[in-house]
Amino acid sequence: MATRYFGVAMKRREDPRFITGRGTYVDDLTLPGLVYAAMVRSPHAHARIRAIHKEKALQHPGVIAVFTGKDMVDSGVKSLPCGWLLPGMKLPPHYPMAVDKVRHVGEIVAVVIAEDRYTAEDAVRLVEVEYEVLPAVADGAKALQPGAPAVHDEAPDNICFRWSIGDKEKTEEAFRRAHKTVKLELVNQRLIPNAIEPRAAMAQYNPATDEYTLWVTSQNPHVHRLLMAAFVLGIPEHKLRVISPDVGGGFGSKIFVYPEETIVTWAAKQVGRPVKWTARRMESFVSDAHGRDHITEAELAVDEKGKVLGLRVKTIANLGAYLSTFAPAIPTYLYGTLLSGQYEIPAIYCEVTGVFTHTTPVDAYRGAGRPEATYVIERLMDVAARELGEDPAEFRRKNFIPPDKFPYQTPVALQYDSGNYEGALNKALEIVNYKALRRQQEELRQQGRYIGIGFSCYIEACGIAPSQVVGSLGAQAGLWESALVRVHPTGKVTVYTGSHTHGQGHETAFAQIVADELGIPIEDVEIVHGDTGSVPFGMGTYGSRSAPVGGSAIVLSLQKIKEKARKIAAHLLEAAEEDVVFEDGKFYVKGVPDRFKTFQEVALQAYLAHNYPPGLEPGLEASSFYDPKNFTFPFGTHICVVEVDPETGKVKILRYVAVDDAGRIINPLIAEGQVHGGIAQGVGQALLEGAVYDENAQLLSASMLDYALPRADDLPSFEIDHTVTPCPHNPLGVKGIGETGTIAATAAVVNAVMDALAPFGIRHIDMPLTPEKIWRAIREARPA
Amino acid sequence: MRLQGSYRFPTAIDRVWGALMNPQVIARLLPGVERLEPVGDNVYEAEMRLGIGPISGRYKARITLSEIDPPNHYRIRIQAQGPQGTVDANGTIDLTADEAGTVMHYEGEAKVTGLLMSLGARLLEPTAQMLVNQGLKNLEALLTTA
Repeated sequence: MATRYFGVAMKRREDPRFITGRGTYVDDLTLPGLVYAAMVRSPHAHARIRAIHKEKALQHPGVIAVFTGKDMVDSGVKSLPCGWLLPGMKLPPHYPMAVDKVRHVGEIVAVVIAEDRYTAEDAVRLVEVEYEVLPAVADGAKALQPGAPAVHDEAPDNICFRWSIGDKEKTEEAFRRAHKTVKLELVNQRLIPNAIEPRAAMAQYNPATDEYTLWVTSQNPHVHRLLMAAFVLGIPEHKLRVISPDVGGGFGSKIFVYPEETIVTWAAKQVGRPVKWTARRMESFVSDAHGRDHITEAELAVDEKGKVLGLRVKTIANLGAYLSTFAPAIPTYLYGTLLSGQYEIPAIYCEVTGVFTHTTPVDAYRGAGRPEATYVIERLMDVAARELGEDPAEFRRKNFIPPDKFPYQTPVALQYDSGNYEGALNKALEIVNYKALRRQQEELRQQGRYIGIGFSCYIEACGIAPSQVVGSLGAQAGLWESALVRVHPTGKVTVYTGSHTHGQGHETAFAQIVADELGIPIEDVEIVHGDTGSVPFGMGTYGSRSAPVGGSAIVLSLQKIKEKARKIAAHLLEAAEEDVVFEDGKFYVKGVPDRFKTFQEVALQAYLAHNYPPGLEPGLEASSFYDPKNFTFPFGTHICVVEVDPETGKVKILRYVAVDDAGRIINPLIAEGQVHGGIAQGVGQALLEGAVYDENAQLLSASMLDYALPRADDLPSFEIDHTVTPCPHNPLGVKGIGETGTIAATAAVVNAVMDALAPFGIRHIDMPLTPEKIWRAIREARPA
Repeated sequence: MRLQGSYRFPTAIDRVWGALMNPQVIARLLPGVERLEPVGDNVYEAEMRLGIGPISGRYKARITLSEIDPPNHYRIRIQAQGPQGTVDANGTIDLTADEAGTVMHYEGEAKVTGLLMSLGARLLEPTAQMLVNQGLKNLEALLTTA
């Protein structure tokens, strides 16, 4: 295969439309007769609904209808489904609007439909809801205490599930033999995703055909259609078309089936007019699924040579008030299975308790479980190195899984297919000039300046996922991907991918693959996604799966296309099929490159079929469903260098080096952009962000004023590099790079700050490492 | 949110007490009261405008006085509900006479929900304290001029 495009840092083809304001997002769309929905949301974290008075709102000019949860349930609407089930877990119903009780601030109790958005928002204030306020609990650990207010009658102790992985006995044994043990208590705080485009939905019902169309900000329109149609609204699947046009970021938060799109789809039929809802930013804060929120106790057992013997982890995972679509999978199979990190750890045991609280539901957020696992293991490795008096890089190196041990079976279910962890570590050490940096650190300390160097050697399981494996673990779907490649008579190509994009540049990266495989100009390739009306059933975008799973499905279809085209070419060239070679867009007879037919000529013949191989069907298109054999395992080393001002507690990131191995890179420019964005979100969690609830479970950080997202001046210029260990089991050798930055960064930054604070004897501070927390820790360590 | 403090009035305790039990005075003391009517023994309904910056709205409030021990002590509960959230405040007022007049000690706690809390949390306590101080100054002016 000639590679004119694969591996080239091409500018994204979609960017001109985005940067000139010509993208099409759901909120840009309109329809004749469109009306608007606004949600009446609970100000209470926990309350019984005594009555809802619609009258005043209904009398307001321009208001068309007001519906409550009871109206929906009475018409047969079911609970929103949970797409991942664990044995013995409690699954209380989650109706699109609260019926008897509200269980978190921001839960919807009624919807107002009006002629325009302003009227709808005004009329929300006229809906009078009588509440009986009940005690609430926001904190995962407090929710487990005896006497804590119960979120659901189905789970009086607030426990949704207890889950474990690994060998408990073997791990206990490792700890009995340990030369030294290291223990840490860590909080992985709750985050709010904040995609730049708020969630939105617009639905239309056509009574003539009994068909619905829903335009929605979704990372997986087919999954949306399946879950909403079949399980919630009872609409036959072929009567609901779901379209997700341009999507402005999601980071996981647009995977899930939410109440709002369900409400507008249902309401469109009730009012007989198309209905649109777009979240206000304040609504996003209380209604987009949050991320993380773990409280963890972790221990590492080490022998006298500094080899890790065992790891024991106990985590309380706060799930929020209801189970979001994939919530149970995140703190279990995407977390516990990653705790081996890059290390040869003979025994691991992890216990997770999933807990209901009176807070917004928690689900996958960039990295989803894997940043939490990396944070645990990489913080522990750092503290262990310090307490053993070893260099943190060398301590890690000593415990790496060596390259000759792949495929490597971890004690927590996963089998790593490939890896070269020392390669990435060495490259990162070289870039940062480690030895000189340590000397500099020492010199600066003499001058009263505190710089710190932090490591994060992460592993990621992505390319989600082999269907049989996830099925056996509780997923209610297979996670393969589809691709339909349609070659038009002139040799132009349209590719319908079941994966989707929410800003990652698929229209460029996928086109690079196609143009190379077929030897045609990239301008001749169109990538179509996000419409159940044109694309074969697909699983969407999450878990860094689009390139390894979606891209591989495209390759399979291209192989079918090329096989058929070769048959046609052989016929035209009057040669045996096995003698025909395809290269640079030309079919020619082996050894006679002058006698050829172009791909475009063959495509035309496929449709004219005048001079055509007997028995062969006309046309040139193929579809494939690719089910990966395994997860892919990107890895790498990130090194962060910080300076902490001991007088103010302010952290400044001086350098950030990222060496990632995502296998073969389709487009280095896009890959680098993904790494940048990922690191920014990791730095955000490490230093700035945090969802804060007060003791009554009121969300205090519910706006950009109170929730500190990272800004340009919080970030250094990143130093990015790669090693390339191709994925051995997919046709592209790619692994996925969308989440690596977020997975690695929190540990790298926090380890760097703790390294800087080591002279004060400070061992650990929970994220976010705000100046105030650091200042207090320094003051406590060194009384003024 | 918690509030507490003391205030000295150069006025005899009976006059201070009398003012504090007078609905018209209470209406002038509490922030943003637009209407206050007795609806039962020591129970009042009020309409109040509450707000912090842009987060303001008209609230319906129920004010209940209890533990009335003239002229020294009562408990006041204010339950307000409006479009931007709810306020449930509960506090006590204690008066002590001394040679120079009357010392008032007040303390209370408020549970606040909705936008008022999620957007206004950081401003809530200083704003409330400011309103209380203002109210007490008004009361002092009323007592010393009347």
